Amino acid sequence: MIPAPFSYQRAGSVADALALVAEHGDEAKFLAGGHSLLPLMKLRLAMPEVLIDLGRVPGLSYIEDRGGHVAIGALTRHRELETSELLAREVPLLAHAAGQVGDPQIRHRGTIGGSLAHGDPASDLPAVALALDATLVARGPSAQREIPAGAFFRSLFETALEPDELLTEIRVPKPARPGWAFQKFTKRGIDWAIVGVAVQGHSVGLVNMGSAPLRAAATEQALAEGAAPAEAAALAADGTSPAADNNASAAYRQHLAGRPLLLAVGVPIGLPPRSGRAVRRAGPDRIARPRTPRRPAG
Amino acid sequence: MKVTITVNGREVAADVEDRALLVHFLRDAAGLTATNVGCDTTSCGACTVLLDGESVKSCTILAAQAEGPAVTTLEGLAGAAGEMHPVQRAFHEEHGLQCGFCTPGMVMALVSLLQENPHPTEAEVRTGLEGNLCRCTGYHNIVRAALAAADAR
Amino acid sequence: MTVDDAGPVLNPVLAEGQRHGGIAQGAAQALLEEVRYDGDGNPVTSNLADYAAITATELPSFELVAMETPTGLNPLGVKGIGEAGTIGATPSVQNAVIDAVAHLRIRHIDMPLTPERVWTAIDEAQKAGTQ
Repeated sequence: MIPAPFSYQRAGSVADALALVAEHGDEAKFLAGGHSLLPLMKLRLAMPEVLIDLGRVPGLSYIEDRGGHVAIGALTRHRELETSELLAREVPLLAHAAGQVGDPQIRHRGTIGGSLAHGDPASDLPAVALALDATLVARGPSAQREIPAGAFFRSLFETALEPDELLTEIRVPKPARPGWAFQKFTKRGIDWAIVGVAVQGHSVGLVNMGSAPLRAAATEQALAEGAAPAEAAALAADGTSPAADNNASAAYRQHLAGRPLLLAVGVPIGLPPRSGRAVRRAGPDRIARPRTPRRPAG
Repeated sequence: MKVTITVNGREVAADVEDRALLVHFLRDAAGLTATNVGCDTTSCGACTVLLDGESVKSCTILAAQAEGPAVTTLEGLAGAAGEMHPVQRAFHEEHGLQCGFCTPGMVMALVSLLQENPHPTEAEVRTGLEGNLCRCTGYHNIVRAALAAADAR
Repeated sequence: MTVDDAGPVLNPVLAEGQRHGGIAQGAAQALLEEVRYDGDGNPVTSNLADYAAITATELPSFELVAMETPTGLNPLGVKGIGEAGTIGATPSVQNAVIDAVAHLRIRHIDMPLTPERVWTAIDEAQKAGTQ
């Protein structure tokens, strides 16, 4: 219920944050919205000795049109993504998916940077970042790196960020193919996805189908080779090893990966195929979502 | 560490552990016990307060993080002369509660919801309350209260 | 919708709330809520994140039909209200789901009727049907 003791440090700037993490090293974690990290700390599944609060760092919350891409500050909250007119126009997949994260209270606090840096395969936004081929900008003590989403998520709670790096910006190319969809299969409205899919054109990110956020490689390949959406979608689970947990068996997850994906790419089960337009899923289409803080392996 | 938080328009200062959660600061340091702790997992929403007008779960915010913004609890909703906020009045008139434990969180969540969506449909109210659990009421009268409060605006 | 008879009702507002809550909990028991244990008897659903407590999003509004038949067994003629929604809602929901899959010759699915349990029953019935 109450986190283990730690030392709270407040960063006043990016430089400050980097200096603090250099000083405290492995014992420190960054605190953004806190709605991935604090729930783990309250269950004592994470016990950093130092928390570096980024809440007062200026200049990391923005959504900007940069021509070929949209640049999003890492501290931009899900609610801001959800209500952004720029995103609704240019990258509706992200705006929509951000509106599906957690509940309204969580969306008022959680940030895109925090969600991506947390590296939980059950989170919605990593799959979206993969489907959008986003680039993640990391600032380190001496240099800045640009990391493609495809190289960012390594394994459970592990990303390509070095311990002394701060994620500062997410760059989302304006999609070349307009069709998009986001579909989450859950028990309750607030639950983590049992399985989810994020689709942008022929790019498909999977939620909760492995130990890291991943793409539906077999489906993407089939689509690139001209397969019909239904055939490509049926391959979604190929090559994946989803976990079995309280909410679903691995077999059920693999079954679902094809089904919601079928809906997402515009082929409702049992109904005639729709036109080439992507199918949007909003709000009450979710069946429900249990939100269990994920336990790190080991 | 010393933390000073603006709660319901007044500054409350206290010496707390770094790990102190906002909900405990509000209940213990500020003496405002309407905000309840209902779970360990950011699930139930009984701890919902407003941070700069937006609903948040105060059990998942450190007291230290809440220095700066304006925090509003249930105790801060009524008018200066004690007149009930429209959402409070709607809960009273529609009897949107049974045991009352979830009620402060429900009211604060709905104040924020109606601020963002002044005329929600029933479905939007129900989805908007997904972060607030209630065991007693089946949500029926809570939803009626929300719609009544929206109509009253 | 529920029809309950608790005899003369002294506080209708509280009584209706009890019935609403009972329906919700009864439906939840059929669809979502379950306390689970591992093989050593440790509770697995040990917090509100693991235990799928039903929310407003999953529920509809309810319709209550009033009946008040006094009993002769006490001076006020009152009867209990506590089991109103809960007892009836669970089998109603269970029966509805089983009815929906009855054409596959499925007679029973253990509660709660999670999507996976229903899918497993359908999947097994379809496989049995093709043998």
